[in-house]
Amino acid sequence: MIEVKGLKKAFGQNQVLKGVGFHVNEGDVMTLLGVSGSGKTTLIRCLNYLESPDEGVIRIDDRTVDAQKITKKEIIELRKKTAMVFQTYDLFLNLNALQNVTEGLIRGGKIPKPDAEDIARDLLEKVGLSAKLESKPYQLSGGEQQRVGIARALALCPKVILFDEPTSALDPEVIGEILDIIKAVARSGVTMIIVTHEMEFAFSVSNKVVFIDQGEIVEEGSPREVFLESSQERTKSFLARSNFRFQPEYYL
Amino acid sequence: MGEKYFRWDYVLDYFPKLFEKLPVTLSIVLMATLFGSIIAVFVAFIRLERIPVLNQLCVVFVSFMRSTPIIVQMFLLFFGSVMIFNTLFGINIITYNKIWFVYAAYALNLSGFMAEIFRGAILGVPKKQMDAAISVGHNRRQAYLHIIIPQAAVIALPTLGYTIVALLQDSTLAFTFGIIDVIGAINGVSASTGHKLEGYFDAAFMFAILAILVEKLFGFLEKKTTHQSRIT
Amino acid sequence: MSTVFDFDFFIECLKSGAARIPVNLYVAAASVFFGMIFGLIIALIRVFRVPVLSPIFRWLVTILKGVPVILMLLVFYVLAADYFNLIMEYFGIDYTFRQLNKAIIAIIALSVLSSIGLSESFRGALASVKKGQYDAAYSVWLTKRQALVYVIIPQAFPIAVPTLCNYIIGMIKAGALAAMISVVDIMNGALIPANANYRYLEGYTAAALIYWVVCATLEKVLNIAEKRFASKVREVA
Repeated sequence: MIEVKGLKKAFGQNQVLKGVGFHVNEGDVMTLLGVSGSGKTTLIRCLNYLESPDEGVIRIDDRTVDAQKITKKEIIELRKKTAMVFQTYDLFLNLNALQNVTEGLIRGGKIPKPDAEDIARDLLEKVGLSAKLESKPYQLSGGEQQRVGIARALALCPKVILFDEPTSALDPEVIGEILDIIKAVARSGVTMIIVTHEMEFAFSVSNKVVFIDQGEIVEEGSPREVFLESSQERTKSFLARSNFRFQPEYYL
Repeated sequence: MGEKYFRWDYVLDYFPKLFEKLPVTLSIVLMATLFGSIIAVFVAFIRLERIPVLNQLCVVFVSFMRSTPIIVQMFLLFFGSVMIFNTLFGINIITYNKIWFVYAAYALNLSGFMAEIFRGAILGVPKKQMDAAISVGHNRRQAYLHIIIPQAAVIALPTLGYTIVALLQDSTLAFTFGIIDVIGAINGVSASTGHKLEGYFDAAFMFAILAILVEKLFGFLEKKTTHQSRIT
Repeated sequence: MSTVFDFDFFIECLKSGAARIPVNLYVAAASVFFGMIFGLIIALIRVFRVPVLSPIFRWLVTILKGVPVILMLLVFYVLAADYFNLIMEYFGIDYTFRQLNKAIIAIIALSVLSSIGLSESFRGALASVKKGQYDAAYSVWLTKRQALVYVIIPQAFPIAVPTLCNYIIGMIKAGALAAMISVVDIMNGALIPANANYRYLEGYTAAALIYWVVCATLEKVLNIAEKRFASKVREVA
């Protein structure tokens, strides 16, 4: 359902992506692993054109775009296949929790306001925030903000949800709650691409793991293949440094 | 009415004659800055230390200086002091050189603005800095001098820059008082030609350059000072 | 001419000046209004680096920022004096410079100045909105225009409010400079009775008092509005 071919992106002299390609099937949960600066965040941002790749072809669902001849209209159409959850939540600071969720539905999705509000209320309840619909971002904790962020992405019913290190900015004690919510979303069959540093989470939530290093895909496969049976030196040393230990109780 | 189109030769013609008067403008800016900041230091100190009666008077003073146009202040100072000196001392000061009234008016006006900037900057230094200074054995005066004021100066610098640029622009009003500064001289040089616009053009050019220079100077000072004591 | 302060005459000046308060208010309001519109347009052009226009405005703003208010007023006054009749004649309109309300010239000159000044403050405010807010807006399918209108500008505006308030006060005081191009503002109003018998001290005292009351009151009101706005958008700690 998602097909990426030969994706290249440079910031000045720095070639961040050196021709990346992969594919994702409907309902897949793919995690992108790699050290900071390996290009994984740039890659996920290229998928919805928050970053414009220099070269490459991206296909999501029935929409195919070529980076070298993309138009503004195509960018908007590609974005309408995706939604994104950000590392720093990036809730709209001028809007309350409910409005944060409805904003995209009303303006971007052209859904009537009452319907959008119903959808938003329903989703905010699912992420456990029905008591804070009117709260502004500054009145919410980091964990609460990220819940709104997830509801905001879910509301759009996109073909794929992109998670850019969704728990990296959170306090350790709330990381688990957010990961549980993401897992629940994954179980409902939504296609997801997740950039994360939470190795156990990546191992248990995804059915496909991609390890990226210095702008190239080093290895891809099932969590088992990448985490436990990798023959690649780069993958092994990365996993060793990330303190990943295979814990059977997570693996039923 | 003569030919009214814009004449570049007049622009060049007027320029040196107007440029000659620039020292008048600069003297207003310098005198106002010098005396204005001295007054402002006292006013800010009185307000920070909340010295009774004087504090209230300073509040009124600052409010008046900030809320009334400088041109009104200038004439009020002139006619007011003429009246006071005449009735109290029987001295007629109406014949004194008017430039001194201008200096005084601009110094007072500027001090109203500067006092607030100084006060805000001192309040902007974290209170703990004073505690820390006293804990190492400074008295209040030493703490202000060596710890608080150097940090406050960094905070005040950008706003001071704006204020000086504003003063530079305001100083042009001295011509309404009969001072022959850059603007005041335009009427003279254009009298025979009937072309004022070219004179205004010259003056605008000079002030634009001056403003850029002042801005650059303060930008330079900011850069110099921020790395020495950055407030986070 | 007696040297003591004539209190009854002072009251007369006060009345005459106070009657002109609306002139200062509408000149200031109109100038700030136009300044906000054009200031925002200039700020957006510069923030988004619109080709050609952005460098032009960069230069224009740098130069005009330093031009004194009185000079701007005089330039527009002289331009109007020289060309207004010619233009009216050209269009066959029977309306002369003499009949022209000089407050309109003041509004035009002050609008130019406030556009320049406010564009700088709007630019700073727009730049202070974090890039993540654009990303988030685009990620929920907003177009650039929608992102600006519904997300970025509503967040930038409160940041610019304090400067805006200072501008309103500044423009009311600038009315006294408009007096130089024969607009009858508070100052000229208060001086009307004084011109007849040279009792200028009473006239200027009255003018100062009216300006003081108007500006200090307005400052209080604007401070309340400012606080309201500040609480609307707060950075996440």
